[in-house]
Amino acid sequence: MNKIVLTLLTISSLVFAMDVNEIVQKVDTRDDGDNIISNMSMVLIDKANKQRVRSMRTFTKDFGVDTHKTIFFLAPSDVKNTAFLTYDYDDDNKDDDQWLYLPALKKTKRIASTDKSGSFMGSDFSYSDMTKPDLTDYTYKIVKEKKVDKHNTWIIERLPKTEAIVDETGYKKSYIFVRQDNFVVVRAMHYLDDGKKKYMNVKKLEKIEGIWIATEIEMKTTKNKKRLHSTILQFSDVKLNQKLNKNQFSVRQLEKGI
Amino acid sequence: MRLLLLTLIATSSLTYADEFEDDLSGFEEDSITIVKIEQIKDRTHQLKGSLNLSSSYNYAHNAPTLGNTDFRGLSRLKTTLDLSLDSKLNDKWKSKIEIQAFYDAIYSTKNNFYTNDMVKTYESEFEIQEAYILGSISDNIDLKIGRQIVVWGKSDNIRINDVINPLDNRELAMVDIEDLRLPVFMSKLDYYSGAWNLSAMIIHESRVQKEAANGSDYLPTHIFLKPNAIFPEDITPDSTLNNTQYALSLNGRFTGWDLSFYGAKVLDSKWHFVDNKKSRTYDFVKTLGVASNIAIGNFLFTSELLYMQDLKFNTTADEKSRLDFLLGTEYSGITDLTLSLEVSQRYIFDYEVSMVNAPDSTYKDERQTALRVSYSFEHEKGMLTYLNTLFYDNSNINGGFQRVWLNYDLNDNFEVNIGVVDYIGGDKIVLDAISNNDRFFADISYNF
Repeated sequence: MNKIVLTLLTISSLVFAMDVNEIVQKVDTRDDGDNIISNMSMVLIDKANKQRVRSMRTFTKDFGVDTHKTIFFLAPSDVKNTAFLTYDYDDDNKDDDQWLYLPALKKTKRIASTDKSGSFMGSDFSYSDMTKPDLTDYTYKIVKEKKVDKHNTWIIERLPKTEAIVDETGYKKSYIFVRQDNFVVVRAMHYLDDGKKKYMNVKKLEKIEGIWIATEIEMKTTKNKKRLHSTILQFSDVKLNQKLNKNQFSVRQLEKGI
Repeated sequence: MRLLLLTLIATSSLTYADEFEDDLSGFEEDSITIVKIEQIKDRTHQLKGSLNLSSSYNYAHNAPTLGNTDFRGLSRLKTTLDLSLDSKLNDKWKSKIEIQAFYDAIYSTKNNFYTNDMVKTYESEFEIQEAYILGSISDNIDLKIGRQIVVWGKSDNIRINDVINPLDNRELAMVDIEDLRLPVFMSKLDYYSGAWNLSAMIIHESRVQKEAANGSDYLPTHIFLKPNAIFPEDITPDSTLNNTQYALSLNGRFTGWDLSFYGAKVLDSKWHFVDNKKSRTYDFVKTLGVASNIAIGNFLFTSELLYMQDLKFNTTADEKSRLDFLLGTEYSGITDLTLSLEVSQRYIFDYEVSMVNAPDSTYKDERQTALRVSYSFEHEKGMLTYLNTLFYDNSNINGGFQRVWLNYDLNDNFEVNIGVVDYIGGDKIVLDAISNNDRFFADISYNF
């Protein structure tokens, strides 16, 4: 019994002893899988609860510190075969490469945008929500601890160091909820300049091939406590460590489709 | 004093803590039940399509003289059906066939003096659009055979190097962009190596533009024909081995920029009189071009250059060469807004003053500008777009149009599109003659 108490105390003191920078470092370096293929459903819900559904298939592969991602639209019919390719560079000084294949125009168009505050395909997620933040762009502080779905989390305040980061992401302050047992960000609360707040909530977290993957995520935009719009992303058929080669992340593949 | 300060600090941190706790409650509120999501399965054959009802209303025409077509009022009541079948033949090969049919009821419901040519051109149509097989014959080589569309160039609004497919020019500024290019039958071989792609095309089908009907509000031929003269029939060159067209492009995609080189021998997009002005036809032109774009921050810069030779005209017997140049930029740094501006310059070598006359209406040096502003709203449910394009000769406006339209998704299947187009007159007789074609338009589509 004493041994158990001692072990608990040790774990507990270890947890409390963790520095916030160590925590965010662990969040950043956590294995989030590679060579991933998944189906993604995006449900867009307006304030009257009217829902639109977009279905996509996504392919993701890490090339060193950079990540390449292809998204093919499967439904609805009017956007079917639209495809999006992005080379997300880790280097802050290098703008991401992005191409969009528009089947109606039979044309692949390069997209130039360093503004990541814009909506990701009409959803409540912004492009910055879909990529890993650069740790050095922010200061962090543990605010408190809280149980989320029976799991202990740290609530960490994340403040952008410069106005440029605020402009780029659209967030002037965020609170991120990091689960203490696996370093997954399961919730986030973002403050926008126009008085709006965005709530990110991981509604389903699954361990797939040993990796924690959020398979259902909600992002809700509110103002004065009223929900303006929300988006639910659902991932299914998530397969890790697939044989993906460089050709699958090319304009050639965008135009050929899946 | 100290007590007051302590109280203030305590109150302020309490307020901050309360506010924070209050904000946290946002996670718990407003639970939503989402619709059942149907998982999209891989199918060998996938059919998709759309049914579109469109209408337009002309508001700027004058009353016609007796016995002539009245272009005022309702001018379109069109139903269009599009069907497209994608098939996966095996792991490496796939095929597509797309058909389109339309019927415009205005030509049978409105009591009007429509010419035979107008009825033939605008009342109904059935066509095979894209129809091809596509596959890989090795890791680096793709082959695509059949009716297809190949878009050259980097610009979005002004076409410079985009010379492969003829256009549907039946109603200037009114044809949906997805229907603008007409697919042609060709064999296309693509070789990929690193960042480069070499694309070779042998075009077997001699297909030319769909032009506006003779005597319609988009082709008032009386401006260049003598009274009672017959507008000569246009003759499309036969799709024979001798008339085969060729095209080659080399495309590179790099970090932050793209570069393409083009060369082609294709049918000209404009007709010329033959057989002592008894008929009209299209001849071959040779083109060499280059295009690039560079992304810098929120700006995308575009440039294109095209040299074209063997151009035939009606107002001179000599063949001419032309140099086209374009600079453009697109800015996407404002949330939900995209701004683009393109400016092109066309220069005719060995220009002759007679070429300014109709039907050529060609200037030695002609500039075109295109300004497009797009604003998306309600999480991309709606898109409002303004497009203005003008042609200039020195500082004179030769004509153009401006168009504003709103596209709105009612749900995942239905969308509406409403707008207005204003044709701008000027020194160019063929554009000035259609400056009264201003109209409102509205359509609704069901996509399935």
